Amino acid sequence: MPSKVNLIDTFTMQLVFLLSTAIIFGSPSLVPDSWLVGIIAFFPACLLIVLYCAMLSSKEDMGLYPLLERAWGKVIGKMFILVYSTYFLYIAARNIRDMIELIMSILLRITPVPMLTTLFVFVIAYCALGGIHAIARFASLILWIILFMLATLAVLLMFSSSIILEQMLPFLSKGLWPVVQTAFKHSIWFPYGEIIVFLVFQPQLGGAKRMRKVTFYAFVTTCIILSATDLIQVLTLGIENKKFSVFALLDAARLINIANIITRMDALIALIIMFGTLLKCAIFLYAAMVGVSRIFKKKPEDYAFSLAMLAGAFSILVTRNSAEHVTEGLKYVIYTLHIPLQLLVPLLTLILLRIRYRKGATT
Amino acid sequence: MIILGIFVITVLSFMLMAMLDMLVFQQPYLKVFVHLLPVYPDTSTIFMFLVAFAMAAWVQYGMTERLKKRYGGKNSNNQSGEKRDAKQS
Repeated sequence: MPSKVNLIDTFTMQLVFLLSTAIIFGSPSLVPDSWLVGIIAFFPACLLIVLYCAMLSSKEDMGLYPLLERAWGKVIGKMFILVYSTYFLYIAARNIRDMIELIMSILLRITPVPMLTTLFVFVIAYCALGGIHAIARFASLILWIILFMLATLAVLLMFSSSIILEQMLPFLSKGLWPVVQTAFKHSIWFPYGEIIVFLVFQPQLGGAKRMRKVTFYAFVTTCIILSATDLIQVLTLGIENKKFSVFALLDAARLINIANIITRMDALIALIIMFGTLLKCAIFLYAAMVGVSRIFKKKPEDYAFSLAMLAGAFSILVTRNSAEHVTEGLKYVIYTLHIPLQLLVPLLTLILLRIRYRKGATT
Repeated sequence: MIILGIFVITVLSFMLMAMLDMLVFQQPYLKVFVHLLPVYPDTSTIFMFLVAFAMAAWVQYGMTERLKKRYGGKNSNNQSGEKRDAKQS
């Protein structure tokens, strides 16, 4: 029986995981009132918790991979494990690319990308090498750093008179329906749906009962923080500027100017995304390591550095430029990867588990 | 098996990325797949893949243990520790 991760550590890990890249990009500015999207997406996202917990509780709180094998059989189950491992590695690669794009645009403009990526993936691999317990302890440390930096950012923006309440007008100019549509099309799947990765570690995290409670609180807190940061972005940049800004929170941070002394606070944002991406990628990488090791019968740690290096290489190859990266992430990844792997496969797995292991059945 | 695992994941990831590129650029699958592959001018990515496989091979063949056994890393550490203890006493 594996030792369980502390309840608070689990919560902080899920919170940092949900916030990390979402906080930088914010809710996609497809509608003027994008800050409302996060709030509306929260309610259907809770249904994902119900689905995942039902899946876990139907077979003694096993992790995602054993559940897939139990539901689909050995061969198809193993194929699904490989698909999920590839999916987790791909998302890790996309997150590394997000961070590299941001770092390249504000901090290290002339450092070669492969150099940055290689150094970063080694840190990720080292983090993942410690297992989920080490990642959880690391999360509780960096959550306070992230929250402190966000609070500092909000206070400094307030003192530099950059927050203008009129910027959020016109409120709901196109009605509520486009906001609801965007919530269903985008925000449920990113960041909320990505919580599926934690199903892999459920034996260490405490199973369905614990996940229901902890993930719900993590979702509530994420919803509040994301909506607040989205609102700050709208209030500082305005609806139109936010729409065309790739890193909206970064552009908002650039507006900080207190008596020409405290300026250029965008380094704070760079630190937030570096810490957040580090943790998120470590979690995805560890999930991929567990999946591959389950198929190829070795210890997960044996794959740490090789898979991290692959994720780094894929982060360079994944898209050719920033515009393609954003388009692919907002449109194609959601329909081809997120919805099938976060909703359809778990739903089918749950149905299969209920049919195959219903009370009294001997299969 | 580690090298095989890394190879399988590499191929699957390439296939996944080619599928997404096919949707984005509206081009045939094979064409985008070939475009994705790291070829000559893109040496840095080739090196990254080579390093990934080299690290997989290092773990697969237990190179750390072999080198330790050959050059006796453990014994020398113990000896130096013993010397240090002797000095302290």
